[in-house]
Amino acid sequence: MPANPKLRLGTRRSPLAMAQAQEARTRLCEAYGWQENAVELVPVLAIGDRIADRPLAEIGGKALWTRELDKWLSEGRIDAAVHSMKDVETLRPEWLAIGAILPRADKADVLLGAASVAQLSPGAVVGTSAPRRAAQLLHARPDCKVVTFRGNVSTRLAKLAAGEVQATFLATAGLERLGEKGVGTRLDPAVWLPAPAQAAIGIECRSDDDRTRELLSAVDHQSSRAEVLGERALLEGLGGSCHSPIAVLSDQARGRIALRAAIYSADGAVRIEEQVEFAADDLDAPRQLGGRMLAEAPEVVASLFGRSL
Amino acid sequence: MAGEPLFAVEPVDWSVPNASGYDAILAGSANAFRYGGEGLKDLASLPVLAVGAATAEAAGASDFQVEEIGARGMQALVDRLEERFRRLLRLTGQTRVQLRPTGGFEIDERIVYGTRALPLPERIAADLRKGGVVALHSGAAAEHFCGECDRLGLHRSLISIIALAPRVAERAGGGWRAVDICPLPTDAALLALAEPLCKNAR
Repeated sequence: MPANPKLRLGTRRSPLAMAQAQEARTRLCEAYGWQENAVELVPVLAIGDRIADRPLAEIGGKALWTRELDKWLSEGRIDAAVHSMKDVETLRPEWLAIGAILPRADKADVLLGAASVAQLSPGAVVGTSAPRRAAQLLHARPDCKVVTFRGNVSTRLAKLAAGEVQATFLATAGLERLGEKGVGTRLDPAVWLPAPAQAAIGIECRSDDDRTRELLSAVDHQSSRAEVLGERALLEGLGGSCHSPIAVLSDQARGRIALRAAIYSADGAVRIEEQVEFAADDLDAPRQLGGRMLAEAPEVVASLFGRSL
Repeated sequence: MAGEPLFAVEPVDWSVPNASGYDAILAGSANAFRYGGEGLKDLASLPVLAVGAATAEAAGASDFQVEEIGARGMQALVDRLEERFRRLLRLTGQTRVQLRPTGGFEIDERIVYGTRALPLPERIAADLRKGGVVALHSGAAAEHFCGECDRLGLHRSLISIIALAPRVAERAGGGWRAVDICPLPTDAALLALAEPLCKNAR
């Protein structure tokens, strides 16, 4: 590394996080014609990376992924932090700004272990720790049993191979970023709605750091940013947390976003779907949709929302 | 520090196509030139697009003219091909990355070498039983090394891994004392990571 890199990018140390950080660096270097060593990657061990045996929701939520990187940003040890936007809390402190959202990859989930959700054998045991995927599965297949399943891609694949579960879900984008193409069955996002901000990489920096904000603006992808901010506004309206089963899909045409959202009870028995169309910069519309959905939801759904982590 | 080959590279029989059917050779490894054998001579009129410096050097040593040296892997090389290289002959090993040519480019493949996994010798295993740092260069090496650890009863919790790239770390899985991923996929980055780990390994 040069003694004075032009930018220090903090990242979690997991393989997927490192792959995302490397993508961020490549895009920055391409945008500015820099050598790759002009951007220094600074791996930080997040608490969430050290605890792999319990669901995220149980051990303190999404903040586990961001807390350490936030600290390093505030101390000036890094200029910016690369995040999987899906893991970033809905409400962030004002001293932080999303400097860039990279072009969003494939938002779809992948099912491993069966050709489709319908073809899972009766009573199949399926591993996931995401409340959304659990509720979606139980909504489609109430006969299935969901067990907690965390760890990185290879750990999950090993558990699948060992027969601990019949099937599990992963994100297409994550698999592709790790060079695993064509694995499992891609679930059509229009049918199996993805998580808010799925497949989006964001780069945060300090709000008052004009130099870094300016640098990051070159890799900011406007339409991906519009989708991600819209989906995060929906979460804000719902007061969703990592306990909350929320699925959402945004489609864009001519500067407008069509957003479909579904919320569930934990057992998947209740599903509420709504949609809204709005101008890309009108974040009130998805925020209000969230509030409306919550107001109409029965207690069994509403009790999972309204608390922001 | 000790280096131990986990794979042996061997030439394989291959049919040499007519060079006039191609605009260039696409090479993803120096092994293509080291093990390609006599057949390479018939292709010497074709320029070489090399994935990196080591491959370019091996091509040059075999009297090929190198036109392009990549830095970010094969797909990145293919993604920005010049128009004059529309018909490519890829000389590769049995295990290879799938490439997606776009915009009417064509890639023909010839497998010119193969790799065979080698058992980890007992003397290395004996060393690793006391703990150590292992650098892994490829996903295949990671998987093979994991298998050898299981076969030899080596405890992962005593071994630190340095992976050349995120996908290599992913294939190595969990349970290790530590896993570090090179910020850049170069030997220099790998050695920079290894140095402090080796000092603290035991």
